[in-house]
Amino acid sequence: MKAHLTIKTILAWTILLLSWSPQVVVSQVVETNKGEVEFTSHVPLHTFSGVSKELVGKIDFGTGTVDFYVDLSSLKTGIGKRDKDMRTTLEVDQYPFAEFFGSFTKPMNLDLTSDLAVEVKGDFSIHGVSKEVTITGTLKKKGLSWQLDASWSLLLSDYNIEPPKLLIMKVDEKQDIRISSLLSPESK
Amino acid sequence: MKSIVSKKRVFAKFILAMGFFVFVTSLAFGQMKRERTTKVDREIFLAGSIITLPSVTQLPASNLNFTIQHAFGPISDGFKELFGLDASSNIRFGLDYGVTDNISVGIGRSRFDKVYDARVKAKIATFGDAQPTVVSVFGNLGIDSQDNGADLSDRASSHISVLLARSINEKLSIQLSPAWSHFNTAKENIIFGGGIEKEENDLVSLGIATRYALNNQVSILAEYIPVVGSRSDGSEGAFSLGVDLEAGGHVFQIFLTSTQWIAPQYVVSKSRNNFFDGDFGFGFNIHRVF
Repeated sequence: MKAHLTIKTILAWTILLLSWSPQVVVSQVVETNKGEVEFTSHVPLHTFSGVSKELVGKIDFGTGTVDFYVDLSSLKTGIGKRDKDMRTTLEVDQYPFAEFFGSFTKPMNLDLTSDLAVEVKGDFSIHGVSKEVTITGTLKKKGLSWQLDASWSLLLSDYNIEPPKLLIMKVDEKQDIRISSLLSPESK
Repeated sequence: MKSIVSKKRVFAKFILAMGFFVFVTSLAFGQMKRERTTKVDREIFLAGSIITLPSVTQLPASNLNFTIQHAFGPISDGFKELFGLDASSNIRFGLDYGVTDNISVGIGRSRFDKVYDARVKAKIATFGDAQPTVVSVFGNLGIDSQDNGADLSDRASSHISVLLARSINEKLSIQLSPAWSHFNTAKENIIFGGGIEKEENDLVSLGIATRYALNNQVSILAEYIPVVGSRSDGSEGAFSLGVDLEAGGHVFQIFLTSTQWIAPQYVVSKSRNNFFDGDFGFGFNIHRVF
């Protein structure tokens, strides 16, 4: 009886400890909090971009999950007033993040040293609206880290965002998004 | 003994259940906790000037701001003078540039006395998150470029001010601007009906300003710039009341003001009208950031 209890207790404690540190089981986790995200907007006769270098992201190769978010207040277009207009348009106080959570659509060979074409499918959320999207990109191994580059486009109307006006010119519905990030092994 | 074994068994089961629950949920809901990474300072004033007073609002680094400031004659002149629009008006064109997020420099030119001015504004400190208080310093150097044969040194004037501003809440902001203004030459002006009015070389003033936001785009503005101590003969503290409109990268300020002067040291020294006697005119400022 005593032996039975001891084994059961050890098993319980082991599972509990493992559950506190799932990366022990799934070791291939890389992350960043300094990734770059850029959007490009078009208005007649003019194009402008907004950049943030505060993209936070995590890829778990063990479970195949991909999780990224950016604080929309960190996006800078180079003109303070325009940044303020953008925060107002996106209602940043109410919806502070643009985020993606999904998973790889296919298994990958992580031993490849060349660029690895990847595809993820999941929910992209902004302005309080989530939509399922499929995004393609590349992963490239750099030592213990992984360089991720991806781009896609979104329509503002899909996310209930009213395109802002620059004087009488309306910003185009379609926004081009690009992310670039070096993800390093998770610090324990 | 039996009771102790039973308690241990229950405890082990509890730990086992908890472990499975945390383990499974951590795999199933592996989303990171979302945390804000950027703090956006609440805007105390929308533009670099309130009406005539410089505000604590700082131009971001590498931003260029073009300003047109315009002050017409007294509304009390009536319809014949189209409520001051026919009168001689003062106008200033200015360019300011954000050297860093905390330092800006600018140049401008006003019609009255053909004054060229150069200015610098630096944010010294910010306190508080929810109700920010900002401390800045502002300096302005003016050169009267009228064709009157005066030496360059006699044409110079300056204005140094500390700008203390606080956002009381989301709608209400206030600013105090103690300032010292200096003119290298104190002019003596012959007045109609005889007599001479003498201006002061040095003046101390305490600018008081407030903004009340009606919504995201529209605010009410008021400012008063009383002189403390000796003042130029016949001068009055300038009072202005206006509206701030923000739209598409522009800030429009439409106001009624008792002064037609625009460079701050000239506002302090040469404003002669009393707003509350009905001596005020229409004016507007346009700020455009590039």
